[in-house]
Amino acid sequence: MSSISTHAGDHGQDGHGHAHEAPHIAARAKLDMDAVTPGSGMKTAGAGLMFMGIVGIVVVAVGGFSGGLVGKQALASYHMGFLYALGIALGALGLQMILQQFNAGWGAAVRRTAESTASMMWVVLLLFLPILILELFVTKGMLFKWMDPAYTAGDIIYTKKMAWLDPQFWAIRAAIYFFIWIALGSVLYRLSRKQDENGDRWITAKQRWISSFGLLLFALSTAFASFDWLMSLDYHWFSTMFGVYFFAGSVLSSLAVMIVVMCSLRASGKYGAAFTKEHQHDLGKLMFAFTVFWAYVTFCQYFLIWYSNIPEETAFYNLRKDGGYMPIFVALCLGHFLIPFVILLVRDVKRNPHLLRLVALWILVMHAADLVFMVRPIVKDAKPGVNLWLDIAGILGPALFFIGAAVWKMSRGPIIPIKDPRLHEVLGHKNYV
Amino acid sequence: MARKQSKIFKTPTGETVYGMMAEFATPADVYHAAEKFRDAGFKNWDLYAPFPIHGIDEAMGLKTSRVPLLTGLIGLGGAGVGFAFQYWVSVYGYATVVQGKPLGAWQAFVPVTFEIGVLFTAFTALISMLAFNTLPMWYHPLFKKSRFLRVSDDRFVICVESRDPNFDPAKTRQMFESAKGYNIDLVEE
Repeated sequence: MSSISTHAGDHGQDGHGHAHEAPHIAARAKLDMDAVTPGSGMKTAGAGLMFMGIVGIVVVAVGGFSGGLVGKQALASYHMGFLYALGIALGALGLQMILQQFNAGWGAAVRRTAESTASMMWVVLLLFLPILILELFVTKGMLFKWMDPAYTAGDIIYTKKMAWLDPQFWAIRAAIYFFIWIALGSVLYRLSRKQDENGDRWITAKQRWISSFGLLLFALSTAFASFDWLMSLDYHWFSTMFGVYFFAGSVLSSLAVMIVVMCSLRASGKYGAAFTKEHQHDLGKLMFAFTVFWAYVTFCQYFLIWYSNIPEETAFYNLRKDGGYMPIFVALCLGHFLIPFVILLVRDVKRNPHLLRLVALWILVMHAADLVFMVRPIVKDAKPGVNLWLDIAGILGPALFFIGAAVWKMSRGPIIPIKDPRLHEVLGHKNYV
Repeated sequence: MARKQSKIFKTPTGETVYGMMAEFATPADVYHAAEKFRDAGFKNWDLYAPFPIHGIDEAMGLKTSRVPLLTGLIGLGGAGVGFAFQYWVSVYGYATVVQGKPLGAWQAFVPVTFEIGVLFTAFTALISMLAFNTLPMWYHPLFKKSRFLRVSDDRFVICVESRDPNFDPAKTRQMFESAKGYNIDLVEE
């Protein structure tokens, strides 16, 4: 807020040069250390969520070992859950780097949530290992059909893409992505925690510097990961918009998780002045922005394919149309965009913790539907709704496990960066519009 | 300006009083003065400053503007009109098959629907903002005060109108004085 200096800087020339502060600065709140120290309930909540996640994963695993169509579907269901967890972690990583890059004063309040979430990226790697091992050594192309030499025999499109769609290269790329994400996530988290102890302002400068090239690496790795793990499920098909599509959904789901976690913490009496409805309002605005961004990207992808009507491009939508996924398509148009768009336009919704949390939960449900729309149709034999318990357990398992791990991680230190140099801006933050 | 008035105040020279103004040296002074007038229940008064003062709407007790609601409703309505118009043209008014698509293909209407929504939103926001601010305004009694010109440079001014039920030349002057106001002056109509 550059206006601080403007307010105090009008003395001298008019003979009224006494020191004074603008009123809203004089009324600035103090940091309440008790309110930013996590309670024991947070650890319990994290552990509870992780336990529920494990139950879900076990259910999917039981389905997977039963083999046949259920086994095939279980792998796809689990893959959706893995992508759900990955999206939340990636969104948190990208958001905190964006906040650092823009030197966002208000954002210091919400950064610790994102830092804790992104630092648990290694849990996502753990969740990915079953898919990697199964697809490379056991099921060999049950999910990623291009991994199956018998399936791709004589396929000219595969031959053209062979250099990229090579199982070993695919695994190496996965290692590179996870290396980038885990390194960025844990380094940024550790620096932030170090600052909690020594209050060194240069740590903020260092975080900003890391975020600069970090964002570039993040953008490229996120896009290519979405090509590898989502777009290649249907390896004949391609869309240059896909990386952005995945990014938009990821950040949106991550914001929704942050809103649910932080509004719940605030409802339980945490944060004090460090996270008020002003900061919540800003999170709501970001969620609104990414709702629109997701819709824009999704529609652009669909619109161009619909307009040009080239068979190799329309295959993606035809597969979903013929597979009986049109209800989900309509639900996404309405529930992922139109309804949250209109609701989040209202200022009072963004400032009401209960309403905003409800909208965030709704968006999380719709994000699951989005993943179902992207992944599930590749299991052509199982129509939508068949073995619904498998899909529900497959998404909820890894997702809840990861969210629980993030909440648990957050409970291991102050829930905001207590010595961030921008903290005075956090405590005095106010939305004037 | 014809308006309902319970009492009509006159200056010593016999002119109708529009209100009373006072200058303030700092944003903090004018902020606290605004709080006093708000708490005293004044309704017809305004504050003039060279730049936006954060939180001043709260200090003045201003209610949330109706501009966002109006803008939202008319924007969404405009988008609906845009869609309906394209649909009518494509299906009934001038039915032409383009690129082998169905006549009422909604996909093709989305970009224009969006743009018309934006157009309606922007115009509603601008016009309703001007309307609620009673702009454009070609004349204002304060323009006659040469000291008022400094409000565009380094002065902060509050003017209480005489039509406010709480207005009383002596008491209002006292309030200004107690709130660090100076150069307190009656403003003629």
